[in-house]
Parts: sequence; structure tokens; C-alpha cells
Amino acid sequence: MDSTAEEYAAFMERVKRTIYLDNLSPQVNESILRKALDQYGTVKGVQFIPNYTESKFTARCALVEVESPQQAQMIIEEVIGSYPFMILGMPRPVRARPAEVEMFDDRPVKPGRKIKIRWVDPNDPDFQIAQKLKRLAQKHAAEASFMLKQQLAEEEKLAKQQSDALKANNEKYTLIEGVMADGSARLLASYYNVKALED
Amino acid sequence: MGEADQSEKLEFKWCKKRGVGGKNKEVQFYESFNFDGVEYTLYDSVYLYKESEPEPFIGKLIKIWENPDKSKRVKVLWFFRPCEIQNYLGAERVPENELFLASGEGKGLANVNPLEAIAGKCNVICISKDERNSQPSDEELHMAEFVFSRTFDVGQLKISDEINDRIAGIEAKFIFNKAGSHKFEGIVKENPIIIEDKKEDSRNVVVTDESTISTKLISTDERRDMEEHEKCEDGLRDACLDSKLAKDRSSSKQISPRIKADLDGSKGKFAVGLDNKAGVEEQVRSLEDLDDVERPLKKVKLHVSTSKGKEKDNVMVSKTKNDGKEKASREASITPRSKSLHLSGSVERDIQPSTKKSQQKWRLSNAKLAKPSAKNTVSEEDNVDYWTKEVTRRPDDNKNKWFTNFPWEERVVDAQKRGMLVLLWNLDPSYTSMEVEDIVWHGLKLNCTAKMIQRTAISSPHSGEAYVIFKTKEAAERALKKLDEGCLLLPNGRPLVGCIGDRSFPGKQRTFHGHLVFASPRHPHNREKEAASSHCSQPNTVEFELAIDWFLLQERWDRAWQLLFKQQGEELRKLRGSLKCK
Repeated sequence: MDSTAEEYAAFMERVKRTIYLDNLSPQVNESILRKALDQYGTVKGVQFIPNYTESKFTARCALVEVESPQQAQMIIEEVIGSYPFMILGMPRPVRARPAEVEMFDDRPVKPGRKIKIRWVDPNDPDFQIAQKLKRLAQKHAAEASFMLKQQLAEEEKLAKQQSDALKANNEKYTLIEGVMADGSARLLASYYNVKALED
Repeated sequence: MGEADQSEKLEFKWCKKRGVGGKNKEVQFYESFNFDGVEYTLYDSVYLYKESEPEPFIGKLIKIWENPDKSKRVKVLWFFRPCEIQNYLGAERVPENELFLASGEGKGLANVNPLEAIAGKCNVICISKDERNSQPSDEELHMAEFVFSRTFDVGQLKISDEINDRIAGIEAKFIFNKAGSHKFEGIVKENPIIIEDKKEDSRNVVVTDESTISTKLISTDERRDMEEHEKCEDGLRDACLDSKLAKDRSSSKQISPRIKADLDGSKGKFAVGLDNKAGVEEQVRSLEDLDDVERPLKKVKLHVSTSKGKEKDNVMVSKTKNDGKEKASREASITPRSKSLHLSGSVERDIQPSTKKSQQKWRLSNAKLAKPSAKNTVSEEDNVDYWTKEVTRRPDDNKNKWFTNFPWEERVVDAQKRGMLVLLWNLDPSYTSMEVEDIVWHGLKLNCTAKMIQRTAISSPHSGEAYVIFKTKEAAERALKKLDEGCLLLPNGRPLVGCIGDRSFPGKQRTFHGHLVFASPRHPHNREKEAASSHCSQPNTVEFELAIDWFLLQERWDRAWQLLFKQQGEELRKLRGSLKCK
């Protein structure tokens, strides 16, 4: 029992010095992540959280273990928290939070926990309530899934908007550049008798 | 819970001793033992159950012993299933029932397991064309659960058609089917062979066996004293006989004339020894004169000791009468098992006389291994009874961890294709995968492999989800049906909910929104270069402003999620409040 308690305590320490990162591009891999965070602290381990449920949701999440809880806090609050921190792509920033126990795949069993399970008799008044609870759980899952869909749609919209705006800007720049390059700007300047910009 | 007590006591008995070993000769080696009504002999192929694996492992017993602290151990030489060495098979399609014997040296060749991990016998036949191998008959092949002819070298990671002279210190002859004597094959096959033995001079066969075993003993650095080994055996035999004579004659008398008649008809001096229940007196007496008792003795012993009470005669008679006909004898050899099960009240399940269904057999033994709960052993089908209990560790958490690197991801894909994947939710998010497996085991009486879905920023704090892979599609469906119709209440008012796992697989990579790509190399911001790395964006850049939009969006949705979860929590709290029993 002591050893499991110790193991759990050690695990909790690990949780405290771990950062949860999400909104990561699917192309981000361990070495990129290490490189990105090594400038702020010592990365001791990287674990990606596999995305089993929503394959539509392609942003990746990862757990990054650093040297100390202080370092983790510093990175979360002062680096990623205060400036848009971008990894392998722009402009969507990554997000950092303190890791939670449930995020770890290899978490040990909480010591001393007892789980009691019960098949409820259909004649028991609890049965009806439990059935309701089941339906509620299903409803909640559906709600969450719907919400996620909405969020993704909005993300897509924003991305498209930004992309369109950038493309438009890009076209403008190219146009101006083109005008300068092929000499039409100078021609026009002399035609209207204004001083053309020297480039 | 009276039943619990019963199921806890798994019948176990050492049968035939071999030598002793270890530093102070405190380790006792055995050649055979009787576990839960089944007799296992050295070089038998067995199923070994490991928690979290969908299929049981299959291996050959190559050493059996008891440590000074009474813990029982078996050394197992492994067979590989084709799926386990898929990477080395390449594109070759292998029949599902083909196994590969581990060979060479390295991890995965053989290891030591607690004897209790054995989940049942497995009928594995060698179909190697090697001349040392006695070729199996069509019938044998038909009855075989698995066949093998090739080996997989765990050191060099190569598949080979050759079976070396020695594998894991075992001579090849123990690996091939035994010529004329299928002593080391499964229980099913033994019957007809015994008769052959009797017709020939089985004494010779026995002697050969003995000597080969002895040479093997010496060769496998156990430093067993051969003399002592033989003494032990003699001693055991004597002891066995003495006790037999003293025991329970009344019941044996009923049988003895009949057996005798039958046996005399076929060749006569066939001795029956029983370890605890019945002894056949006359024949036992003659035992001392005979040297060829060994194999028949063991065989019959098994049957009688597993069948109890009146069934005994039937079984015995049907067995002896049908000798030579494999099919019939197979039934006979199976029947006692199921009967003894019924009698001991441990499992109410119909065991069909078919050994093909490995899973059935395997689960059967598992169910019986269930120490803490009587329930797993009582009702297997859909007759749910209503009870509360504490979830404990699933039994049989055996130690063979050498195969832990089976990629879960692949297994999920496979399981979903075969309809064995189930998504459970409404679990306490803090449960671990292991606890989920235990819950399924206790609640649904099914073995599974579970994986809690790791929490992310958008996971509900109210409901943990887990993927569960059941052994079969039927098991998955049954589990879902039970969860749907009944109500398995976990602590804190959480009825377990399940649905078919229907994750859509990322056939093609969907785009990740928010990272802009610029085709034009002449763009004022040299994005290609920057995109390759990471950076903190400063307020004077274009992307900073764009990033602020993302922050905004993220913040809005975070709020939305929080609200949603808060509201859901409220709803749950209200409803749970009306539960009488928490």
C-alpha cells in the first residue's frame, strides 16, 4: 500500500511540472515541440494525447514535462500565456494549461479507492432515475459533440476570413510591386507631372 | 456467499513427480498436474491468459515446478499467432489457426509464469513435413485447434521452416508430434492412442519416454539427480496405490466389472488408478506386476477424478466402449469436464463437446479462476441478477509482460472492423483503464481491454469515456444490450452507458484550421522560413493581430464550454439528488 501511495505521490509531482498544450498543428512532432520550448525550460518528456473520438478535430494536444513546477508555471503564464506563441504555422497560437491527472494515459490507480457497482433492480425506484441519468448522459454527450462541431465551424470561418484577407492584401502588394517594377508608375508620374518615388 | 467459497477452491493436484533441483534441492519438479479437473503434462500446449490481451497466449509447458514457498510455476515456450509477427510475415496470408513456435534466443522465447495463469489445454498439432515428425491424421488435423510447422526466431526475428534440434533447451522430439504415442498432445487425442499402445508393446514406449526425459533433465542444467528422480517416481506410485486401495471402494465396485470387461476385451491388463475418489481394486493389485501402467493410468485417472458420483460409470463406459473412435472419445473426454463443473456448481454453461472454440474453453477457465466473485461463475448469459459489489482486481493478473508493446491503435482499428469496439461513458473521469477493465469484468462478466480516453481541454468533467475492446462481436453486443436494458450503477450515481465504437478513421488528413499557407514566394513576410520554427509573436507584426482574433475566438468558446459543463453539472446534480441510494 505504501508503495502505491508513493507511486501516486511521485505521479502527482510529475503532473505538477507538466504543461498541457493544445491547438497544435498535426504536423508538430516531439522534436519540434522540444525545440520550441527548450528556450524557456528543460523539456524532460513529450507525450501526445491521441485523439480517438473526434477525428474531425485535428488539432493535436500534448503533455510536455519540464524540470520543475515553477518552470511549468512560468511557461504557461509568461510565455505562452502572454504572447501569441506559434509553433509550425501562423497565426493560430497554441494554448497552454497546467496538466491534469486525467490527461495522463499512464496514471496510476488512486490509492485506496474502492469502486462499488450495482445492477439496479427494475422494480427499484432508483431504476427509473438511473435510466433518466443514462439518457441525460447521452444528451450531454450529444450537446458536447454539437458544440464542438460549432466551434470547429467557427474556427474554419475565421481561418477562411483571415486567409481571404491576407490573399487580398497579398494581391494588392503584388499589384503595387508590379506597377513599380514594369515602369508604369514612372510613366504615369511623368504623365501627370508628379515626382515618382525612387525605389 | 457460499458459492464464492466453492469457486475459490480450484481443484489442484500434483500428479507425477520428477526430480528436485535448486540450490538445496528444495525445488520440486513435476511432470504432470491436475488443475481444475484437467490433467496437464509436460509438453502439453496450453492457453495462458493475460489481462489486457484480447486473445489468450498459447505456449508449450516445458518445465513444471513448485518453489519452496509453495508457489507453482511453469516455464512456457511460446507460440506466436500470425498477427503478432505480422511485420515479419510481409504480405503472406497465413491461415488463422497457424502458429509459429518461438525459437532462437531472446525475449519472447520462453518465460516463467504462475501455474494458475493456465487457462486451458490447447490442441496444437505439428504439421511439419520434417521426417522426425509423425504426420497427423486427417482427423487429428480436423480436431486441432491450431497447427504449426514453422518457427519464429526471436533473436534474429526470422521465420524459418526448419525446426532446430533444440529449442529453449528442449529436444525437437518433444516439439514434434510423438510417434505412436501422443502422450504429449492434448487430452482429446490421447484416447485412441492409448489403445494403440496397448496393442503394441507399450512398455517400450514408456521406457523410451523415461530415458529421454531423464537425458533432458540432465541437459537442462537443473542438475537433477536421475536416481533420485526415479526413486521419487517409484515412491509416488507406491504411495498412490496404497491410498487407492484404502479409499472408497463402494463406488468403485460398480464400475470395476464393467471396465474390466471392456478392457479385457481389448487387451486386458489395463490398470486404473484414481487419486482421490475411487480405486479399482483388482486392477490396482495387478498394477505392481505391470510396467506399462503409466499412461493408461494417468488417462483413466483423469477421467474418473473429474467426473463424480454416478456420472462416473457412464463416462467410463462410454469412454472405454468408444475407444478407437475419435469422435466419440472426444465427447467422452469432454463430458466429464462439464459435468464436474455442474456438480461443483461453479459454472452454469453448456459446454459443447467441441474443442474448436478455443475462446469458449478459455473463458470457461477464466470464469472459474475468478476468485473474488461468485457471480462471474454463476450466470453467464443474460439473466442479470441484482446486486451490489465492490470491484476488485480482475483475477489472473499474470506477470508475463513481455508482450506489452502491441500497438493499441492497430487493435482499435481491427476491433472496430470486427464490431468488438464499444465506447463507454459516464465513467468517473479519474478512473484508470485498469479500473474500467475491472468494472467490465465484474459488472458484465466479460473480459476486455479498455482504454480511458485522455482528457483534453474540451472533455466533459462530468463523464469519463473509455474505449473497450471485447473478445468477440457477440460479447460486445451482449454487453451493450445489458447496459441498455439494465442499469449498472457506478459510484456517485453514474449509470454506465455504452454504444458501439464508431470512430471514423482519418482516411485522409483533414485540414487544421488556422495556419495560413502562402503560395507566393514574393510575399513581404517570408512565411516559409518562419513557419518552420516557433516563436513568440510581437505586437508589431501582422500575425500578432491575426493571432489576437484567435485568442478571442478561443476565449469565447472556452466560456461556452464552461457554461455548458456547468449547466450539465447542474442537471446531473438535480437528477442524482433524487436517487435513493447513492
